[in-house]
Amino acid sequence: MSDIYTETLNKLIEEFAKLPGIGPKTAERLAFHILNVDSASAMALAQAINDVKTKIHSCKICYNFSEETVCNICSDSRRDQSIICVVEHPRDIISLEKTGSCKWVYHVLGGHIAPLEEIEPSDLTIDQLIERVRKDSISEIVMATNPNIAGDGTALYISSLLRPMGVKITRLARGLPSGSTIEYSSDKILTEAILGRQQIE
Amino acid sequence: MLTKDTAICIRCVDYSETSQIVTFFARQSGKISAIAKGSKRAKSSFEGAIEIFSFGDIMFHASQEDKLSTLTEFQQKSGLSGLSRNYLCYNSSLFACELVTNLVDEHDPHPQLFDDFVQFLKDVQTAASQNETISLLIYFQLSLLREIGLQPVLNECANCKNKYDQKWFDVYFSNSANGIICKDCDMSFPDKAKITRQAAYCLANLKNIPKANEQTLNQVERIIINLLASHMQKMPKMAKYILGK
Repeated sequence: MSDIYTETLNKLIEEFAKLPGIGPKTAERLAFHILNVDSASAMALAQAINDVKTKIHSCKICYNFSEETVCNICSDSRRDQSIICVVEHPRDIISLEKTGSCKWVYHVLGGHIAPLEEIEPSDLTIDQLIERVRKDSISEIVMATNPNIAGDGTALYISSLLRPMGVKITRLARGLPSGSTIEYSSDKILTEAILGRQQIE
Repeated sequence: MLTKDTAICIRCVDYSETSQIVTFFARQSGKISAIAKGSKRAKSSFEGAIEIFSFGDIMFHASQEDKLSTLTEFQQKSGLSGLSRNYLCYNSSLFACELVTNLVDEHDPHPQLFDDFVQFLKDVQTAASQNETISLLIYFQLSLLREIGLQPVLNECANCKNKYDQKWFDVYFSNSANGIICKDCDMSFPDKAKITRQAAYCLANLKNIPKANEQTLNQVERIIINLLASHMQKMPKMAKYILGK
């Protein structure tokens, strides 16, 4: 804590510096900005922070962020409720929805299984997903966990639980990104693309 | 000093939004921890974020023993992409990583163990059955124990050196004796546990492990996991995923 600032200003700088990507210098700049703006603008920011912490909670069906008991996606009757896309975090839903090609509903796991870091299946919402598949008439589960070792492991574990229930399980495709060139692709990406090659219709 | 080696990532944790701290098991340099600055950036020189089982040629600035090295280059090779296509194969591979992380000292090279580790990961991807996966894991665990100087005594009584015979009616295994124990010596080892004759036969004749039935394989694996736990002084985190498969 610096002696040149007042106690409250120091506190504000410290709080800003805790945010991701914010260093001490930027925290200082933001704190002075708050100090200089009119009271209404500063209070609007404080109110917005208060609102997201008090009004936003998990959707009781899919565990996405929601201000109602059931989120907008789960309550949308135009969506195909028989297809569930399983994601690790609510921010993954935002990325998928931006594509405009998803007409399904979601299930947010809340992370991935990492046994070596002691994150076990019981720490995620896997039991709730199984219960959902058992209760509702689900035709397909789209595994959209991250395309890395931990994401694959999580998808494998969930698939092992869902397979006996006779539901179709799919995984998002992986490999060469559109617009890229083979020459500049890494061995890892090319291997994925070769293994996941598709028949041309 | 800039060092070049072939290595496999056995642990990685995020250090910042763009950097990671990675633990490599390198062929010539042994286990090393290094900071990979900017590894999570899309255009990093490490071909994207480094994750467990990433394998290839590394170049790093070696540091003093208690400090982090700095990873400067990592040319990843393909060949281990099939590890996450089967749940038991995935868990077995993570188990092997955990054992190397816990039982191999930093900067202690084990080229033979490195080769065995890579070979295990390559073979386990193509294992046709659960039994084959467990057999491969058992071979790797025994190779690890041998390379770090803790090879168990499996073909004779670890106490009296009496050669194992298939006719032994009661066979025990003791972690403190680091091997099998005959009936005459069992009183000297309070931690001994009776093992089946089939499991004893497999341990004494390792080439028979792939031919063993599921029950025997599970018992052999349980014996080795308990032995590893006694060396690690804690139960490995992945043990329950293998034993409860």
